[in-house]
Amino acid sequence: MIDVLDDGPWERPELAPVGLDREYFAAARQGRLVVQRCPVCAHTQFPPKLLCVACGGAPEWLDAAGVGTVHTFTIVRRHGVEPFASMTPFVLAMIDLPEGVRLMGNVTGEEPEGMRVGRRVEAYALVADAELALPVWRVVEGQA
Amino acid sequence: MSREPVIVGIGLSDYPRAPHLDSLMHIAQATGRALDDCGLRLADIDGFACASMPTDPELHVEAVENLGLRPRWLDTTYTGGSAAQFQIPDAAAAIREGRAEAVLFAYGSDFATRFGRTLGTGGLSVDGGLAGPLLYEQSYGSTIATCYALAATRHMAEFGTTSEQLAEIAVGVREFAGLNPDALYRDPITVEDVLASPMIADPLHLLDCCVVADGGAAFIMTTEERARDLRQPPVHVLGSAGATTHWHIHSMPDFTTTAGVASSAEAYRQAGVGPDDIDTVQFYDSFTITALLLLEDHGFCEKGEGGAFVEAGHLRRGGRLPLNTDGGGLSSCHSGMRGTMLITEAVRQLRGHGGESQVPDCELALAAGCGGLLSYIGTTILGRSRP
Repeated sequence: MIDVLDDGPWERPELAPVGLDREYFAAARQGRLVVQRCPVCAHTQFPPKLLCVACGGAPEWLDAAGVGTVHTFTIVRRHGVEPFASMTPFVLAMIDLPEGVRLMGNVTGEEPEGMRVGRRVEAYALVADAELALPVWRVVEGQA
Repeated sequence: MSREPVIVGIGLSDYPRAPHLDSLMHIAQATGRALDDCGLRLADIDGFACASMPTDPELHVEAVENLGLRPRWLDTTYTGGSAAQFQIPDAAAAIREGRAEAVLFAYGSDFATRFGRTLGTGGLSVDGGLAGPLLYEQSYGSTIATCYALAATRHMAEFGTTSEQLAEIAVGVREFAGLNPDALYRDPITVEDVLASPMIADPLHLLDCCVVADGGAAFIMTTEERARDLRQPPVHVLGSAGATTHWHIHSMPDFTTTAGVASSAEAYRQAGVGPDDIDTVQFYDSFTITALLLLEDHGFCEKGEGGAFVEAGHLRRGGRLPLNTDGGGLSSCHSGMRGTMLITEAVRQLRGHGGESQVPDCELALAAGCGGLLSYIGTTILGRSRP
């Protein structure tokens, strides 16, 4: 399970997912970070899709451990759209999960200048509305 | 009678600022100049290749109407900035097979006039809420610049590439822009200037990013036989291929390697040449890292050694592989999709019409477009003669 945090009114772009996408953000609202795993060939994938891109099978949800490693990142200094303009500088990263997928997210928990490739992070979720939450990440404390 | 495909006419519309032209007018003006260049008439055009940006979603069909064309062959494949490179293979086949006699390629956009300069950091429109793949990146503040920054950071972490090395690309391209009277930015810059420019998305500075401009380009492909009584020496289409790995940046499988590995392998195979044979490269340079990845993926150096290659000055004027001899997207003109302009500049060099920017003894030129977010790479090899 990952923490689900309600830190006030939702100012990011409205989430309007349907189908599998809705299931993903709804799971996060319940404290679950999920990715897809194919029951036929065991391939894991993200974002969720109707077909397994490795074999064409029908993927199933897999609960991820909610931990990861920073594969690459940037510190966003300029942004033309709120609320991101007011959030600058902030970290935008690609996170490698032990489940074998890579996904994008913001990383909080330390000054952006401290971010490095390889940093260990853990997932939490920001409440968007009564039904949906957005997975994001924070650095795992107590590491160099 | 040889039906081998050659490029005979090229034209650019007014750039980099042209508030008197809309996107269709850019296409019409560039087309008129390409026709004048070679001596063909509009009535000779029976094939048309054009791609529409999301900002002008029906540009390709509107252009057919605007030019009064009745094409027997039509290709509107949209892959972003590599669309021309993806369209060239079938255009060449259509020419060879007699499905078309003269194919017009055209692109144009009033990008800067309509959208201003902030597009790279403005995110995309999310009216009505996020849905589909954009949910997984726009909700985190992803912009065009951040996509390329993610690749640059990873390249630095894996291979030790430095900001100075990336900056050298911008400095070299700016030197060529200084020789192009129409280029948007022409004053010389140094590596220190690039590093001192505002950080947009680490590690990319303002001067690591392309300009936002108005502009259009057109070129005409016909048979070697038809070219005999036209005004310009023909430039031969020796190889062209496209390849892809993803569309959105969150699905890029390897942040330091593009589909240029596959597209260049096929283009080299068709042309029967290799990287050592190429005299100049016209690379998509939306950002300095774009050109660096294309350089490596087209085999001019090993993966990870692009930084050292650039630092040695090879891409400069007078170097062994001059890059973007018109000033590129980094300093001259980037109006949304630059793939067509990569071809017109390669043709100018192969004709020997480069003026002060002319690459000496230019026999083979390679143009590589990059569409989407390092997603769709297209490679075209052109030659002054057919080996």
